[in-house]
Amino acid sequence: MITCKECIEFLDDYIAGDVSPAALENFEKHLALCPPCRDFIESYRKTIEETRCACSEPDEQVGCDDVPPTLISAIIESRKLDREPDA
Amino acid sequence: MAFSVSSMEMVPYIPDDPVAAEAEILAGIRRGDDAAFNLLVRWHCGRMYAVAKRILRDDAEAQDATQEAFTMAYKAIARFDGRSKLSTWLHRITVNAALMRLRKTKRLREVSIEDTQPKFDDTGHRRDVGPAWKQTAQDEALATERAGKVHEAIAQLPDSYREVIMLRDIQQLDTDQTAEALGIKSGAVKTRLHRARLALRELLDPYMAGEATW
Ligand SMILES: [Zn+2]
Repeated sequence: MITCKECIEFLDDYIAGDVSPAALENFEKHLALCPPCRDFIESYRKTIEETRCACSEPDEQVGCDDVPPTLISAIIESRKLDREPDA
Repeated sequence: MAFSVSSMEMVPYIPDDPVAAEAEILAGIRRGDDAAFNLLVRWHCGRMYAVAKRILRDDAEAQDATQEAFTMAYKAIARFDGRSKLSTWLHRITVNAALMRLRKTKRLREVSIEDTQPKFDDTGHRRDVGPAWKQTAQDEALATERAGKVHEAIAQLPDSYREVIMLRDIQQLDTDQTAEALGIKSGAVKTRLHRARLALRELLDPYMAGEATW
Protein backbone atom coordinates (compact mmCIF):
# COMPACT_ATOMS: atom_id res chain seq x y z
CA MET A 1 0.00 0.00 0.00
CA ILE A 2 1.41 3.40 -0.96
CA THR A 3 1.41 6.31 1.48
CA CYS A 4 -0.34 9.68 1.06
CA LYS A 5 3.09 11.19 0.40
CA GLU A 6 3.74 8.81 -2.49
CA CYS A 7 0.22 9.35 -3.74
CA ILE A 8 0.67 13.13 -3.89
CA GLU A 9 4.21 12.91 -5.26
CA PHE A 10 2.96 11.16 -8.37
CA LEU A 11 -0.36 12.94 -8.69
CA ASP A 12 0.62 14.65 -11.93
CA ASP A 13 1.48 11.34 -13.58
CA TYR A 14 -1.72 9.82 -12.30
CA ILE A 15 -3.82 12.70 -13.64
CA ALA A 16 -2.02 12.56 -16.98
CA GLY A 17 -2.65 8.79 -17.17
CA ASP A 18 1.10 8.40 -17.29
CA VAL A 19 1.51 5.44 -14.89
CA SER A 20 1.94 1.69 -15.24
CA PRO A 21 -1.11 -0.53 -14.65
CA ALA A 22 0.43 -1.77 -11.40
CA ALA A 23 1.04 1.76 -10.15
CA LEU A 24 -2.47 2.75 -11.16
CA GLU A 25 -3.89 -0.14 -9.14
CA ASN A 26 -1.89 0.93 -6.07
CA PHE A 27 -3.09 4.44 -6.54
CA GLU A 28 -6.73 3.52 -6.74
CA LYS A 29 -6.47 1.20 -3.77
CA HIS A 30 -5.07 4.06 -1.74
CA LEU A 31 -7.73 6.49 -2.92
CA ALA A 32 -10.51 4.05 -2.10
CA LEU A 33 -9.35 4.04 1.52
CA CYS A 34 -8.21 7.65 1.90
CA PRO A 35 -10.78 10.46 1.76
CA PRO A 36 -8.17 13.22 2.36
CA CYS A 37 -6.25 12.14 -0.74
CA ARG A 38 -9.47 12.03 -2.75
CA ASP A 39 -10.20 15.60 -1.70
CA PHE A 40 -6.63 16.56 -2.44
CA ILE A 41 -6.79 15.19 -5.98
CA GLU A 42 -10.03 17.01 -6.56
CA SER A 43 -8.48 20.30 -5.43
CA TYR A 44 -5.39 19.66 -7.57
CA ARG A 45 -7.57 19.13 -10.65
CA LYS A 46 -9.58 22.20 -9.79
CA THR A 47 -6.39 24.25 -9.46
CA ILE A 48 -5.38 23.30 -13.01
CA GLU A 49 -8.83 24.12 -14.36
CA GLU A 50 -9.14 27.46 -12.56
CA THR A 51 -5.64 28.48 -13.68
CA ARG A 52 -6.51 27.77 -17.29
CA CYS A 53 -9.83 29.64 -17.06
CA ALA A 54 -8.40 32.69 -15.32
CA CYS A 55 -5.70 33.29 -17.94
CA SER A 56 -7.19 31.87 -21.12
CA GLU A 57 -6.68 33.56 -24.45
CA PRO A 58 -9.72 35.58 -25.52
CA ASP A 59 -11.52 34.92 -28.81
CA GLU A 60 -10.12 36.54 -31.92
CA GLN A 61 -12.40 39.56 -31.99
CA VAL A 62 -12.44 40.39 -28.28
CA GLY A 63 -11.61 43.96 -27.43
CA CYS A 64 -11.54 45.26 -30.99
CA ASP A 65 -14.20 47.87 -30.32
CA ASP A 66 -12.94 48.72 -26.90
CA VAL A 67 -9.45 50.12 -27.39
CA PRO A 68 -8.89 53.66 -26.20
CA PRO A 69 -7.37 55.44 -29.25
CA THR A 70 -5.01 57.21 -26.85
CA LEU A 71 -3.59 53.83 -25.86
CA ILE A 72 -2.70 52.96 -29.45
CA SER A 73 -1.00 56.30 -29.98
CA ALA A 74 0.77 56.09 -26.60
CA ILE A 75 2.27 52.70 -27.51
CA ILE A 76 3.36 53.87 -30.92
CA GLU A 77 4.85 57.07 -29.49
CA SER A 78 6.70 55.25 -26.70
CA ARG A 79 8.35 53.05 -29.32
CA LYS A 80 9.66 56.10 -31.12
CA LEU A 81 10.98 57.59 -27.85
CA ASP A 82 12.62 54.30 -26.96
CA ARG A 83 14.61 54.41 -30.11
CA GLU A 84 15.55 58.09 -30.06
CA PRO A 85 18.89 57.78 -28.11
CA ASP A 86 20.59 55.58 -30.69
CA ALA A 87 18.81 57.07 -33.71
CA MET B 1 6.45 46.05 -49.37
CA ALA B 2 4.98 49.42 -48.41
CA PHE B 3 2.12 49.85 -46.00
CA SER B 4 -0.55 52.34 -46.93
CA VAL B 5 -0.67 55.76 -45.34
CA SER B 6 -3.92 54.82 -43.61
CA SER B 7 -1.93 52.43 -41.42
CA MET B 8 -1.01 55.46 -39.36
CA GLU B 9 -4.58 55.94 -38.21
CA MET B 10 -5.13 55.06 -34.57
CA VAL B 11 -8.03 52.71 -35.18
CA PRO B 12 -8.08 48.93 -34.72
CA TYR B 13 -6.87 46.95 -37.73
CA ILE B 14 -8.43 43.63 -38.72
CA PRO B 15 -6.61 42.00 -41.64
CA ASP B 16 -8.54 40.05 -44.26
CA ASP B 17 -5.79 37.46 -44.44
CA PRO B 18 -4.30 37.10 -40.95
CA VAL B 19 -1.62 34.61 -41.99
CA ALA B 20 -0.23 36.82 -44.75
CA ALA B 21 -0.59 39.92 -42.57
CA GLU B 22 1.35 38.28 -39.76
CA ALA B 23 4.24 37.33 -42.05
CA GLU B 24 4.37 40.81 -43.58
CA ILE B 25 4.21 42.58 -40.23
CA LEU B 26 6.95 40.40 -38.73
CA ALA B 27 9.22 40.95 -41.70
CA GLY B 28 8.49 44.68 -41.55
CA ILE B 29 9.25 45.00 -37.85
CA ARG B 30 12.49 43.07 -38.27
CA ARG B 31 13.74 45.53 -40.83
CA GLY B 32 12.72 48.44 -38.60
CA ASP B 33 9.61 49.55 -40.47
CA ASP B 34 7.52 51.71 -38.10
CA ALA B 35 4.36 51.22 -40.13
CA ALA B 36 4.59 47.47 -39.53
CA PHE B 37 4.83 47.98 -35.78
CA ASN B 38 1.86 50.36 -35.92
CA LEU B 39 -0.21 47.70 -37.63
CA LEU B 40 0.80 45.13 -35.03
CA VAL B 41 -0.35 47.47 -32.28
CA ARG B 42 -3.64 48.29 -33.99
CA TRP B 43 -4.30 44.62 -34.65
CA HIS B 44 -3.49 43.10 -31.25
CA CYS B 45 -3.84 45.96 -28.81
CA GLY B 46 -7.55 45.37 -28.15
CA ARG B 47 -7.20 41.75 -27.10
CA MET B 48 -4.10 42.44 -25.07
CA TYR B 49 -5.80 45.34 -23.31
CA ALA B 50 -8.86 43.16 -22.60
CA VAL B 51 -6.61 40.50 -21.01
CA ALA B 52 -4.71 43.08 -18.94
CA LYS B 53 -8.01 44.59 -17.79
CA ARG B 54 -9.30 41.18 -16.76
CA ILE B 55 -6.23 40.70 -14.56
CA LEU B 56 -5.76 44.23 -13.23
CA ARG B 57 -9.38 45.47 -13.17
CA ASP B 58 -8.26 49.02 -13.56
CA ASP B 59 -8.22 50.87 -16.87
CA ALA B 60 -5.10 52.92 -16.24
CA GLU B 61 -3.11 49.97 -14.88
CA ALA B 62 -4.25 47.83 -17.80
CA GLN B 63 -3.15 50.48 -20.29
CA ASP B 64 0.29 50.61 -18.68
CA ALA B 65 0.57 46.82 -18.71
CA THR B 66 -0.42 46.69 -22.38
CA GLN B 67 2.21 49.27 -23.21
CA GLU B 68 4.83 47.32 -21.25
CA ALA B 69 3.82 44.15 -23.06
CA PHE B 70 4.36 45.80 -26.44
CA THR B 71 7.76 47.08 -25.33
CA MET B 72 8.75 43.57 -24.25
CA ALA B 73 7.35 42.06 -27.43
CA TYR B 74 9.24 44.51 -29.58
CA LYS B 75 12.50 43.70 -27.84
CA ALA B 76 11.92 39.96 -28.08
CA ILE B 77 10.46 39.76 -31.56
CA ALA B 78 13.73 38.59 -33.10
CA ARG B 79 13.41 35.49 -30.92
CA PHE B 80 9.81 34.81 -31.94
CA ASP B 81 10.20 31.60 -33.91
CA GLY B 82 6.71 31.27 -35.36
CA ARG B 83 6.06 27.92 -33.71
CA SER B 84 3.09 29.39 -31.88
CA LYS B 85 0.70 31.92 -33.32
CA LEU B 86 1.82 35.50 -32.87
CA SER B 87 -1.39 36.21 -30.93
CA THR B 88 -0.62 33.35 -28.53
CA TRP B 89 2.90 34.61 -27.99
CA LEU B 90 1.61 38.13 -27.37
CA HIS B 91 -1.01 36.76 -24.98
CA ARG B 92 1.70 35.13 -22.90
CA ILE B 93 3.72 38.34 -22.75
CA THR B 94 0.61 40.33 -21.79
CA VAL B 95 -0.41 37.95 -18.99
CA ASN B 96 3.11 38.14 -17.62
CA ALA B 97 3.25 41.93 -17.79
CA ALA B 98 -0.17 42.22 -16.12
CA LEU B 99 0.70 39.72 -13.37
CA MET B 100 3.95 41.54 -12.63
CA ARG B 101 2.03 44.78 -12.37
CA LEU B 102 -0.54 43.09 -10.11
CA ARG B 103 2.29 41.89 -7.91
CA LYS B 104 3.46 45.48 -7.54
CA THR B 105 0.10 47.20 -7.04
CA LYS B 106 -1.15 44.62 -4.56
CA ARG B 107 2.26 44.36 -2.92
CA LEU B 108 2.19 40.58 -3.26
CA ARG B 109 5.26 38.77 -2.11
CA GLU B 110 6.89 35.97 -4.05
CA VAL B 111 6.28 32.74 -2.18
CA SER B 112 8.89 30.15 -1.41
CA ILE B 113 8.05 26.99 -3.33
CA GLU B 114 9.39 24.92 -0.46
CA ASP B 115 6.98 26.53 2.03
CA THR B 116 3.96 25.90 -0.16
CA GLN B 117 4.46 22.17 -0.68
CA PRO B 118 2.32 19.71 1.33
CA LYS B 119 3.94 18.51 4.56
CA PHE B 120 3.98 14.89 5.69
CA ASP B 121 4.72 13.12 8.95
CA ASP B 122 7.07 10.14 9.30
CA THR B 123 4.36 7.69 8.33
CA GLY B 124 3.67 9.56 5.07
CA HIS B 125 0.39 11.12 6.19
CA ARG B 126 -0.32 14.72 5.34
CA ARG B 127 0.09 17.04 8.31
CA ASP B 128 -2.14 19.87 7.23
CA VAL B 129 -5.37 18.21 6.13
CA GLY B 130 -8.08 20.87 5.96
CA PRO B 131 -11.66 20.89 4.72
CA ALA B 132 -12.41 19.82 1.15
CA TRP B 133 -12.89 22.50 -1.50
CA LYS B 134 -16.46 23.57 -2.04
CA GLN B 135 -18.18 23.17 -5.37
CA THR B 136 -17.46 26.29 -7.35
CA ALA B 137 -20.51 28.26 -8.38
CA GLN B 138 -21.28 29.13 -12.00
CA ASP B 139 -22.31 32.56 -10.72
CA GLU B 140 -20.58 35.22 -12.85
CA ALA B 141 -19.66 37.45 -9.90
CA LEU B 142 -18.09 34.56 -7.99
CA ALA B 143 -16.23 33.37 -11.08
CA THR B 144 -14.70 36.84 -11.39
CA GLU B 145 -13.76 36.84 -7.72
CA ARG B 146 -12.23 33.38 -8.05
CA ALA B 147 -10.25 34.40 -11.13
CA GLY B 148 -8.91 37.32 -9.09
CA LYS B 149 -7.64 34.93 -6.41
CA VAL B 150 -6.03 32.77 -9.10
CA HIS B 151 -4.29 35.76 -10.69
CA GLU B 152 -2.89 36.80 -7.32
CA ALA B 153 -1.70 33.26 -6.64
CA ILE B 154 0.08 32.95 -10.01
CA ALA B 155 1.63 36.39 -9.51
CA GLN B 156 3.19 35.11 -6.29
CA LEU B 157 5.04 32.23 -7.96
CA PRO B 158 8.77 32.55 -8.60
CA ASP B 159 9.44 33.35 -12.29
CA SER B 160 10.75 29.93 -13.28
CA TYR B 161 7.60 28.27 -11.91
CA ARG B 162 5.20 30.83 -13.37
CA GLU B 163 6.78 30.30 -16.80
CA VAL B 164 6.08 26.60 -16.69
CA ILE B 165 2.48 27.14 -15.55
CA MET B 166 2.00 29.60 -18.42
CA LEU B 167 3.23 27.22 -21.07
CA ARG B 168 1.87 23.91 -19.76
CA ASP B 169 -1.41 24.70 -18.01
CA ILE B 170 -2.46 27.94 -19.67
CA GLN B 171 -1.19 27.57 -23.23
CA GLN B 172 -1.31 23.79 -23.01
CA LEU B 173 1.97 22.97 -24.70
CA ASP B 174 3.22 19.47 -23.95
CA THR B 175 6.22 18.73 -21.74
CA ASP B 176 8.75 18.51 -24.58
CA GLN B 177 7.56 21.70 -26.29
CA THR B 178 7.78 23.51 -22.96
CA ALA B 179 11.26 22.13 -22.31
CA GLU B 180 12.38 23.35 -25.72
CA ALA B 181 10.81 26.79 -25.30
CA LEU B 182 12.49 27.30 -21.93
CA GLY B 183 15.76 25.58 -22.76
CA ILE B 184 15.49 23.14 -19.85
CA LYS B 185 15.16 19.36 -19.58
CA SER B 186 11.76 17.66 -19.75
CA GLY B 187 12.30 16.26 -16.27
CA ALA B 188 12.73 19.77 -14.91
CA VAL B 189 9.51 20.88 -16.61
CA LYS B 190 7.62 18.01 -14.97
CA THR B 191 9.03 18.69 -11.52
CA ARG B 192 8.47 22.44 -11.71
CA LEU B 193 4.94 22.03 -13.04
CA HIS B 194 3.90 19.69 -10.25
CA ARG B 195 5.48 21.88 -7.57
CA ALA B 196 3.95 25.02 -9.05
CA ARG B 197 0.49 23.43 -9.11
CA LEU B 198 0.91 22.30 -5.50
CA ALA B 199 1.94 25.84 -4.57
CA LEU B 200 -1.08 27.34 -6.34
CA ARG B 201 -3.35 24.79 -4.67
CA GLU B 202 -1.95 25.75 -1.29
CA LEU B 203 -2.34 29.49 -1.98
CA LEU B 204 -5.94 29.03 -3.12
CA ASP B 205 -6.85 26.63 -0.32
CA PRO B 206 -8.14 29.15 2.27
CA TYR B 207 -10.44 30.71 -0.31
CA MET B 208 -11.60 27.54 -2.04
CA ALA B 209 -12.21 25.65 1.18
CA GLY B 210 -14.43 28.54 2.23
CA GLU B 211 -12.47 29.78 5.17
CA ALA B 212 -11.48 32.88 3.36
CA THR B 213 -10.26 35.72 5.47
CA TRP B 214 -8.77 37.51 2.47
ZN1 LIG C 1 -3.88 9.32 1.37
